[in-house]
Amino acid sequence: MNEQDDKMKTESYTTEVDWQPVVISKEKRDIDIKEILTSLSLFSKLSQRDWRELSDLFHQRIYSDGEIIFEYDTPGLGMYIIIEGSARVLNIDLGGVKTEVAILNKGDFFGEMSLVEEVYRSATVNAIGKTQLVGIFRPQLKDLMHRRPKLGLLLMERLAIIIINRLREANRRLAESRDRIRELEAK
Amino acid sequence: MIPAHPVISPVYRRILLSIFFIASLVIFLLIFPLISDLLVMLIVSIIITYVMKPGVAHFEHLGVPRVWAIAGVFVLTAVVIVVSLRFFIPVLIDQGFLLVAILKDIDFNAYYTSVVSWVDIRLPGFSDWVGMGQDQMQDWVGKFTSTVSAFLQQSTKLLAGAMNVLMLSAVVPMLIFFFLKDGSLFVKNLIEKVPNRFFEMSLSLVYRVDQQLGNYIRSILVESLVIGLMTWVSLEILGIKFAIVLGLINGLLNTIPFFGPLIAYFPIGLIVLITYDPPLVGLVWMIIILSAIQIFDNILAKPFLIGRSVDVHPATVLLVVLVGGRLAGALGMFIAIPAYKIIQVIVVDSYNHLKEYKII
Repeated sequence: MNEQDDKMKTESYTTEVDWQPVVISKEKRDIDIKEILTSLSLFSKLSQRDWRELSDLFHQRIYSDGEIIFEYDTPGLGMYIIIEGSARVLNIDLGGVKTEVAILNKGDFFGEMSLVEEVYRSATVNAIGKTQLVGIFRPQLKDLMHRRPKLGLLLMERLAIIIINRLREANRRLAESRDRIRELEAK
Repeated sequence: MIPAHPVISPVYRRILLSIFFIASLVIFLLIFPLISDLLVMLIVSIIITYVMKPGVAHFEHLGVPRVWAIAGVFVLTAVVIVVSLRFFIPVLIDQGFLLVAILKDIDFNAYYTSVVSWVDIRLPGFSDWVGMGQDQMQDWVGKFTSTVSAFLQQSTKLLAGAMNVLMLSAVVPMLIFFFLKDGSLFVKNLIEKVPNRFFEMSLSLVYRVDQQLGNYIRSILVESLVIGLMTWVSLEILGIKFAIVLGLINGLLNTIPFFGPLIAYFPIGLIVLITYDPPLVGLVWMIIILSAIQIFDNILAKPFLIGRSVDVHPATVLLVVLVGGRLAGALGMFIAIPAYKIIQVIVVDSYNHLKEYKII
């Protein structure tokens, strides 16, 4: 099912790309990026000055189909937000077997844990089709926290809420899985 | 499907790295004379930028916009320069000129002859045995003087070239301003050109090198300043003449690990011998003071300021300082170790990052 969905998404994305004008002005692209980023709780409702300061930290990257965005067990430096396209998250178990755990789409983000702490990447992520990302990274965020503590604290607070929510969701899923296992064992 | 990374065998890797190092060194040595003025100017700008950076960050921390924060730091620096020009520099120049005049009047040959005859009385035939006759000495003194003057001339030429550009175009303050204002944007634009595979590695590398260099440059400057001030104040208290010049010499030589503080004993000792009465008492005091300052530096200042970052082998220090001296005279000797440290941080961190990011 996943594979079919994935294929459909990739196909629809490819069609969308085909209809896009060949040259997109930088301004238009920046407006699109701003729209997507400000729709995220992490970057929403920021003042003009804060946004300007923050946008200096963003790195725009474009990946081609199948290209690795980051690899499992390499140092994590920051998070990425998908502006266009999709990304595949692959978990690698102790035996080195790769399992697809998620497909992320426009507006999704990943790697946020490494914004807070120096951790090694827990998964490999690669691009599906041509994928445009915006990245924000720990050294720059730390620098921002030192220079503009209020803005840094606001971002850290929002990041903590996101991580807590994801942890809650993971706990909920874990509890569900446990219940399911118990049910199966009872049968 | 994840593409497998090419694996380079360790032997090839070492050969490639060695070729890369040698080629870089050769290219650097070849183009250095052509761009030495610009390079000195750029290095000076970078060093001053690193010194000013924490000040700008501090102002920004207080809520001051970046441009105003930079302006504030520039004004503070200007105040420091004006105060130095008014109180410190004239004394330094006066003492320097007076010292040069005294040194010029001294007949080193007479000193040498008296020392050799003193030895000859106690060890007859000693001077002839080691080939240190009067003619030989004249020859040596001549050679030594010409080498030293050529050496100093080379540095002065280099410094004068850079100073010329400095005075004429005021490029350095402008460079510093732009480094402080747009340095991070410049780095960001540069990193945008890096291929995806090396992107995170390059970003991490740039920030690590930036942090290490900043810490190293600031700590070595603070350390030299502390050592210089301590030498000046303690020699002044003891009534040793030219204390400010001697403080400057000790502070500057302190930037050369291991050998710098040892070398400092000779010029300072010579000046104390010439100017202090009785000379031997002055010499003993000077040795006590310099040793006490060195102990303070090694036990308290260095571990606190620089930590373990001065991990350079004494043989490397010697070699690097000699190469620095060859390239840019006395000035080169002083900037050789910081320059070596900069290159070492970049090379070592690049290698570690390439390994950590599984590129090699």
